[in-house]
Amino acid sequence: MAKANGPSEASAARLLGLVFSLVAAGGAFLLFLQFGWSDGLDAMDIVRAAFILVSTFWLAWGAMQAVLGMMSRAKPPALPPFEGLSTRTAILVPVYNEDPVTVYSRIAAMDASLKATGYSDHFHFAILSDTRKDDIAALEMEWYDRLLAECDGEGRMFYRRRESNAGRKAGNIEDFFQRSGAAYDFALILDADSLMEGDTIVEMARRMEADTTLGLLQTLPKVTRSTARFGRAMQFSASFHSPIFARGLAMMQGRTGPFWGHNAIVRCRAFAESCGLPELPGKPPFGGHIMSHDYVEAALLARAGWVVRLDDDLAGSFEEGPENIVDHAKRDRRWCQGNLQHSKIVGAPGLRMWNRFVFIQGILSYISPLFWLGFLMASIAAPWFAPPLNYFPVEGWPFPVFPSDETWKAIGLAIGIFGLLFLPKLLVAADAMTSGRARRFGGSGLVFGSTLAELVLSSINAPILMMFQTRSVMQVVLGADGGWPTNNRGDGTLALGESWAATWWIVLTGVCGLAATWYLAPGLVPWLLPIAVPMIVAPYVVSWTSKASTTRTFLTPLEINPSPVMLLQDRYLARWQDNPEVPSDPAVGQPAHI
Amino acid sequence: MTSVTPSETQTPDTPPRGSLPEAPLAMPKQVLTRESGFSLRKLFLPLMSRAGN
Repeated sequence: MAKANGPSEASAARLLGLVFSLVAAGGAFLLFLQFGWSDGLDAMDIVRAAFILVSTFWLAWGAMQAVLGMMSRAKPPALPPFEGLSTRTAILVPVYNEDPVTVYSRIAAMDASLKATGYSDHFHFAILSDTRKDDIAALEMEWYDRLLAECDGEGRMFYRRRESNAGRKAGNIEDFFQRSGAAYDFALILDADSLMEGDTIVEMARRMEADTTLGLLQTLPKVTRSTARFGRAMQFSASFHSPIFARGLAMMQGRTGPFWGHNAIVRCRAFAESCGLPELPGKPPFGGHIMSHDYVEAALLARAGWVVRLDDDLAGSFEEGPENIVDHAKRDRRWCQGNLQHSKIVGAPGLRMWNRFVFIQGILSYISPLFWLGFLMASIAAPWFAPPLNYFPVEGWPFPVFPSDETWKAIGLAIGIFGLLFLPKLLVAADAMTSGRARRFGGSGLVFGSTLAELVLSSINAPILMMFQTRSVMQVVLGADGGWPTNNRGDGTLALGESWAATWWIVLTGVCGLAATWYLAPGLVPWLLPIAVPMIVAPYVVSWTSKASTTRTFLTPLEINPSPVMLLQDRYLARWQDNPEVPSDPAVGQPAHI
Repeated sequence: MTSVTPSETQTPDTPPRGSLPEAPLAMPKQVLTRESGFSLRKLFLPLMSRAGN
């Protein structure tokens, strides 16, 4: 069966990305060394050049994904004519202290959407509860009755709650396979906030049937339902930029693709045979249960010879995102611990080299802010290490030798780094305007405005997020386990006091950093201001960006034309919230009435 | 690698209301670690304790 990206295309894409990133990183390294050489090379120059080398490599690697993504278009694999499904798929909905009304409204909507395809008999829903709070668990049971009644879900919709939530989400899924896995050919793994169109789900099962070597098929979920400034900016970026970056990623990953833990379908036997996760030796955060299990499961499937693929042409796959920076940072703390924990797995026997690289890439994505921070601190301290200027370096030569002015090299380096940061997004905007894709986002003018606004907002947020990430990495390295906090969903508006409570230490760091720079290296103050000012005003930034966004900026196609399954969910949710009593007549609320 | 065809899958009778079908699938634990695996903790902790001294 033909598939989107063969091994040769993936190898070529990886090589191109690697060569470009190494050239960019090497160029930045040499440019900085030359700049440092102008007043005499010292140890701090070499340290800073090393920080620049790693950071630039990482930036160039990300930029290359966008460039690769723009070089091709998402295309479906070649498939035989569709003659119906012959398999059965379990749709797994793991829940952990979630609002059951909202979660079940998504299930009801997906069920109605599946019924419209005519293939709903091939799909069962399994609500896998790991909820620890008894009052929420009681609601889950109560609303499950209503879900069954309204969807005629008898024998198709199941609910179970684990006594112990060992292994967290991975353990929850594993428990399903150990109990019921053999009853199904495939399992579509969702998150509690996942939503998928029925025809997308059917198409995924069709592709799994068509390619018997395919172990896992991942979709690219679009972020929806955001209403806050921060959330809508992320939603725009996920809708506008991510498909291009994901296309580049898919080209690089080829047959050893990604698994992001949800909105993906797996072959049950392949998953069960390959993905039983052991506890890692030692205590958390590095030992114990594997937190970011998805990357590991993708690597294990590839190790066993199964194809793991991202089909970015599949639309109709949705998720929700954090509405404010604090919720984003909480989720990121969990991901940080999970990615750093992969340092214990990167040397696992038999893994594909690309999967090992993906682990290293994940680790690098979390420790790279430390390199930038290290570069800043080394730059502030550099004047103390610089050798005194010697205008008469040649003995006996009567005329002074002035150091050459290498300022242009520093400016060139800064332009290059900002180019790697901003140019990919600007190129995506230009590509959208010329290809007509911009029309779906409200037109070229709005796309240009949204892109600029996103660049400004992400530049302001970047130092704040850098501090949160740095704190997360330090906590993990020092042995602090972040646990398994419940995701905050819904309205995420933060008052100034709440924002201050979450960011006061960032303000303090910003003030101290700026004061130290003023004292030690006053010439660097203008360079530091774009980083220090957002840190100092972090409480205002966090609070302001958490408030509702009322402009057309960051408009996405799904805000203009919501997907049918989103409208179905809206109707179920509105009706259930208006009438929370479980109806005695099971016919109430059948999809035909919706 | 073993290829799985749909006919190999057991399809149980309609299960009782609300209960998941009883059709177990074994998930053997995979080997993920080596004795001398690379560890960030191993890398950083000695450096930090030295810095502390």
